[in-house]
Amino acid sequence: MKINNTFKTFIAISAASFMLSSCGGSDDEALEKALGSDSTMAKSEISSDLINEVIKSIPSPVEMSSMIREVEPKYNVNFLNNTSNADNYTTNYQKAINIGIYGTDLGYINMYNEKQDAINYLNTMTKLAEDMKIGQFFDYHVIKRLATNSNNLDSLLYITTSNYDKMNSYLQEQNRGNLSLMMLTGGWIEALYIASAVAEKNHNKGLYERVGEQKIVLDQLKILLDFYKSDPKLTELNKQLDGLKTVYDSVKIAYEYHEPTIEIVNGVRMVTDNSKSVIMITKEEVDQIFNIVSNIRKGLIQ
Amino acid sequence: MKVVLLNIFFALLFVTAANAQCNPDALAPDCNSKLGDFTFIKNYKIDPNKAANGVLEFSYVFSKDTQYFISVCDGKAGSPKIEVTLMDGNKKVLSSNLDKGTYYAGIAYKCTTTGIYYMSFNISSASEKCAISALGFKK
Repeated sequence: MKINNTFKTFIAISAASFMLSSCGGSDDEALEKALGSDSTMAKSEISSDLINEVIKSIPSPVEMSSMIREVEPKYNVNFLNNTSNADNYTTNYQKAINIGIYGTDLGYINMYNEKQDAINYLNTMTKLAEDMKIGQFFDYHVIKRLATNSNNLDSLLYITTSNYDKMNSYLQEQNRGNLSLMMLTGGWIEALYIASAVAEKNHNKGLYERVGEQKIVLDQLKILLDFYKSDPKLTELNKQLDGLKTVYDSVKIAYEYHEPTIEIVNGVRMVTDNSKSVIMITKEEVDQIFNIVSNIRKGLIQ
Repeated sequence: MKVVLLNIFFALLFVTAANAQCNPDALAPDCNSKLGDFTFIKNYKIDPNKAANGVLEFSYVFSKDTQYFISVCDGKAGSPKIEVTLMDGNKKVLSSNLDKGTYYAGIAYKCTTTGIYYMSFNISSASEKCAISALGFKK
């Protein structure tokens, strides 16, 4: 029975997400509409498992970093949160948010093969993680060895992404999903900040679209943040994202469905999506997103 | 009769113990290496203790103009008998790794539509129900 309710609630959250993206209503309205007349599913009954599943759906910043690397060949350390700021982070909220931010920075650094910066950022993340009792996911010596050997850059990217994933899973399993959400939100804000900065500079259509499609992720994040209303820090963070939501409400994503084609290639089912999505976002909207996300980030990293 | 009941009891105990020992993390390094030239994104733990009617479902936001690879591993040689189904945001099935009774090692997906996608893992027919999935991407 619990499983059935959980599954139904998952559908409800997905539906709420869809409604938010298509109708532009408030989180509460969308959620209540999605929960509908099923009186057995109150918000308070939504399990941590369910929240964790939705948290899992948030994309990894490493994808955004890869796209940024394609568009902008020049590494720019000024995009990143300086590691010296880490001494200012005294609360778990600040530490979790900034582990996320540094995690995205580390992904960016790895894409550009900047070994010394990789070690510095890794060191900083390790210290913050140790403060939060999740330092076990960073084997600093192994990663440093990989970072200093240029043949192992793929391994370095893999190890850091994998450890970040494990750390998030662990927090969720330990019922510390709020910290996991803080990390993910911090990581997402940093990725959006760097992507919109590079998009502004390069006027790259692909990156504009990538910034525009973050509308979907923002909706997911806001729904998740709404479940932690009892956490004042997450509530404040949720409010800060309202400005972004206002701009993203005018960004439109159009879909056109066509049947996919399937073939077998080397023992793997290869599916080619023949559908299309068009992301309608203007340069002005990208500029606005950059300005808003810069301000949010400034408050988080100081 | 007592012997039969005792046997059933121990069989259930064995299954429960086997499930309780499920440690998908141990399978991750091998499974992640099967992503080949795809960049690792994350793992999905397939733990029978968390499956509803033999099925576990996860979602992820896929981006257009990106290829994704979903591999599934149970630590044994060959493709596990775990059906992986990929669905779009409306739960419309796009593909599965099971075709005419053959389980393939994974699904590669060329995404042209940004949105939420669902991956469901059906372990009903699997001999090893404790498994892991790895998701990777490339441009």
